[in-house]
Amino acid sequence: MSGFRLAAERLAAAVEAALDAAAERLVQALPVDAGVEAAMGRRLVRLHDEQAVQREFGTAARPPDPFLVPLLAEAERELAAHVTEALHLEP
Amino acid sequence: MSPDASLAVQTAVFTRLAGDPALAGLIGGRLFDRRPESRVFPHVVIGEAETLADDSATRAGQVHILTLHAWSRYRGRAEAKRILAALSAALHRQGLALTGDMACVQVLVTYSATIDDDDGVTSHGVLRLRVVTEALVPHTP
Repeated sequence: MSGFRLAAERLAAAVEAALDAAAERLVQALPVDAGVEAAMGRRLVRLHDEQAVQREFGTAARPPDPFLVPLLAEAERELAAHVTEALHLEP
Repeated sequence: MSPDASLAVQTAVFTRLAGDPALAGLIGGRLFDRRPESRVFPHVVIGEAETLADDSATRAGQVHILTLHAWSRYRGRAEAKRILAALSAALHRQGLALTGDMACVQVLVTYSATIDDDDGVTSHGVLRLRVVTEALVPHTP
């Protein structure tokens, strides 16, 4: 079982690295200031702009101008590619 | 190029919500696919839709991100939250029947929130829906 545990640890490390890369790329692509809070298996990207929610979802007086969906999709694709590569290297 | 299922998805979502008795109990028939000119509250708008290619090795596929808006003038956020809950119950992990040569693979509510609008009287509920579709006919024989 030690071999299995070693492989699982390597995969877990690869997932963490992939999450870091995806979060970093998302932060760089965002048109507003943002920061990343890291925890095991997740990254919380927090936008430092109170107007961002209004822009994304609109208000009663202003139609939305969504900017997050394509950026999140790109980050998701990058994450999937990293994890797939890690699985190929560690079958 | 994937066959575009975005209209079929919108039609299926509209049909599902229009026929949902729990939602009708909250908003009556005030379900729209764009902002209504007459501002009677509460109401629901099926809003922005983005479509992303998601082909697999054998089938053309798409991911559709839909944003649904619930607008309420109830004093507090309770009504908007009840509407969001009804939307979620009607859609989350519920299949959609699509027209054309496309099938719905997955429907997930990925995000919902209630926001106080700038005008100080309106509550704005938002719900993001992720719908995965694929062509019924594979790429390869």
